[in-house]
Amino acid sequence: MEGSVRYFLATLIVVGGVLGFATDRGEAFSDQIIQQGATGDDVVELQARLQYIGYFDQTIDGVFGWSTYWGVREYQEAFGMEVDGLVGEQLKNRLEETTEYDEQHVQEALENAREFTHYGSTPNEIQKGPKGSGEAEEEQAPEAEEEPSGEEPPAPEETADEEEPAPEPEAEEGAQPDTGGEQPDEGQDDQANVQKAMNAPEGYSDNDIQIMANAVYGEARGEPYEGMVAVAAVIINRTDDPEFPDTANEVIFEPRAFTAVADGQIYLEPDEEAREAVLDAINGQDPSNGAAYYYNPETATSEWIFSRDVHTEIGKHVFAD
Amino acid sequence: MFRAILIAVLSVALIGTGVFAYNEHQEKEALAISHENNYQKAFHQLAFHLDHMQDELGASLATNGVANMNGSMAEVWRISSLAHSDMGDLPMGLVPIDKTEEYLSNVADFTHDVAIRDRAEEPLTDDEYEQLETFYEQAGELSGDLRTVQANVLADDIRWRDIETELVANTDPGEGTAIDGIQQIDEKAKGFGENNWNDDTGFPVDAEERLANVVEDKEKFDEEEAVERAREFLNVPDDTNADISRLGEGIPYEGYKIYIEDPDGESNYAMDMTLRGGLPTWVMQDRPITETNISLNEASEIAADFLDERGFDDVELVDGKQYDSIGTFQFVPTANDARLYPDAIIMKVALDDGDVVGYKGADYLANHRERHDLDPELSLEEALDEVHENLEVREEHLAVIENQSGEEVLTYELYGTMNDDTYQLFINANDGTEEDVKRMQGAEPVYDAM
Repeated sequence: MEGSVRYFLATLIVVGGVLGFATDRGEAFSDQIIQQGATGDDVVELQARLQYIGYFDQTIDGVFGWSTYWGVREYQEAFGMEVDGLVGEQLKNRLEETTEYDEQHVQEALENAREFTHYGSTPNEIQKGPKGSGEAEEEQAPEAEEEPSGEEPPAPEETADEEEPAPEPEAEEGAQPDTGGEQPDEGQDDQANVQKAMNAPEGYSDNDIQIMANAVYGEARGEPYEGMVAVAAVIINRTDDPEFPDTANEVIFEPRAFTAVADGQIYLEPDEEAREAVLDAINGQDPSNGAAYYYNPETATSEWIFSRDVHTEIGKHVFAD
Repeated sequence: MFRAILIAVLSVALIGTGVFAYNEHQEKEALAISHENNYQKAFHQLAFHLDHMQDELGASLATNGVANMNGSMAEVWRISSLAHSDMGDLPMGLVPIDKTEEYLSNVADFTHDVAIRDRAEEPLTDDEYEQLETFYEQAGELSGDLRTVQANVLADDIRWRDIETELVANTDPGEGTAIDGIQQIDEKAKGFGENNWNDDTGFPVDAEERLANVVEDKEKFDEEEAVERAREFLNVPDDTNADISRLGEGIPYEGYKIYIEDPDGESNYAMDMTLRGGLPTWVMQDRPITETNISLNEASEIAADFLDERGFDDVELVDGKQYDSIGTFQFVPTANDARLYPDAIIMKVALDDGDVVGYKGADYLANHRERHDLDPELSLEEALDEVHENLEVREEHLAVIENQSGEEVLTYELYGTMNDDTYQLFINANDGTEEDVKRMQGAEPVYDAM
């Protein structure tokens, strides 16, 4: 919108910097400040490193959610940093110094939805060499300890659950994710502690989103994007409306409510755009401006629908209350 | 000989076709019947549930003991929800039966509120008792009428499939038909709505109406000025192509719909703007965003800068989420250190080049005003006393929220953990009521990761 060139350049610099530095340092953390809500490889690394020293005991999933947030805050508190839940340079450096992170191993487990943990007792001998500057950890005795530990002292505490050695990485730990190709499945038999995940908006499961995306695609494919968001918004407006059922599912499958449901188009595979439109609507966008009905004036058959007050017209659809 | 074989073959083929057609027909018939059965079930259940709702409302009127009343209130609440859902199962998408549904919804809300509160401390007020009596009478009328329709349906062997077909063909339902009967019930329920118990807040419930109040006296923008204002808001050059039209009249305020070409390329910005005051209510840009080049944190700063440059003072980021290559953020203004949630602004930033691709300010525009009552009567410690002892509170803020009755209340917003879950609590900062408790949702696993 504004100064996109500037941001583009900034982006280039950042990306360039990440690539450059990362390779030098042999570390995977990029230069970004990681904050709650973020997803991606930096979050995987953060969770893995926090888990290594017992500040995170939940599933490594690459989504900076609440438990990661509390872990970061505990860590910040324990080490006398500003407690803000943001993972900046200082915190990343400290983590890199005091923990190990076998990126390839974690990433692979994540890709394959393999069960494993990343507590700091992994035998390292079959790795090409120590990573980061992980000298201190080697002699720590593993002890079974799942607590996220408010009381963790500065020295990295080993927590445990044995872990199978990572498969031999074919190269140095790369700066980029997914450097590893196929690796044989090593038996990873700890509790399921790594699973890929994504953000879900409050109050909706991914399945809800999927059903809504199906409805939106069936009803509004070929329409402008805002028209798709508006259709999704109408579904949500209905759930808030005392005149309609209270959940998106019920609203969608209410008999005769949507033509796409009646004629089975709802079962078409929706595209990414429909999904994004649903997410936008769930997150509060409403191009219909509060409408509870919409229709295509060229195909609508019900006299009654034409009597509704029109809010707005988008593409072929008229949105009304 | 040859002819005999031919005849034999053809006969077999004919019989085969017949059998096949018959089977097909049977299957279709079976499907239609099961469809019909679902409708019949929903309809009869509805009548049944309305009957019972009335019984239970009567019981709650007569009950004196708190414990018994709890039971009947919860029961009314349950039954009204069931009846509501039955209505949803009928093929009524094409006819307005909204008032009946609204009535059921009001009953459900009322009984739910009463059922969950501690009435030993907070007994029913006289108004509430009166409300309960009204609900009881109304339920009686509705269920009586519905039973009449039900009797007709049964006596005349009316099929919902036929009703449905009529509705789709848009033939007018004749007098005395089931649809007609139900529509009459709805007319009656409309009368009930006029003394709607939760409509007396004075503050318009609808954000659109509030916004209409806000812009009422502002200066009018003509189309040219509106486009200029839009370009300014989006920070695009003055000569960018734009297309403007009027919004429909179903919205309580007058407005424009504006499309502006993105100078970078082929995509358009779409936005709505109030005619008075020229306030953009929402903006979105449609373009594929596939790459991720900037972090969520940077994107949040871009969004904050965007708001800052447009004169939104003292806004605080309260939620940010990354969905692949998109960052979505919620900002709220703060006053006297309190987060004003009803005034939230939504921002969406593309993580490829950091462009703002979505903005929604309608709630901010409708609700943002000076609040005079932002001093809590309860101290934080007192509020914490109201919290479940197993919950470890880790973060706290002051916050204004809209509670379940749609009123604005000053609360302590608390985040705490219990076992592995994080909870968000809102404790009324004046009287210690627990206004809302939410378990914060975790990330969604990718189920097909195998």
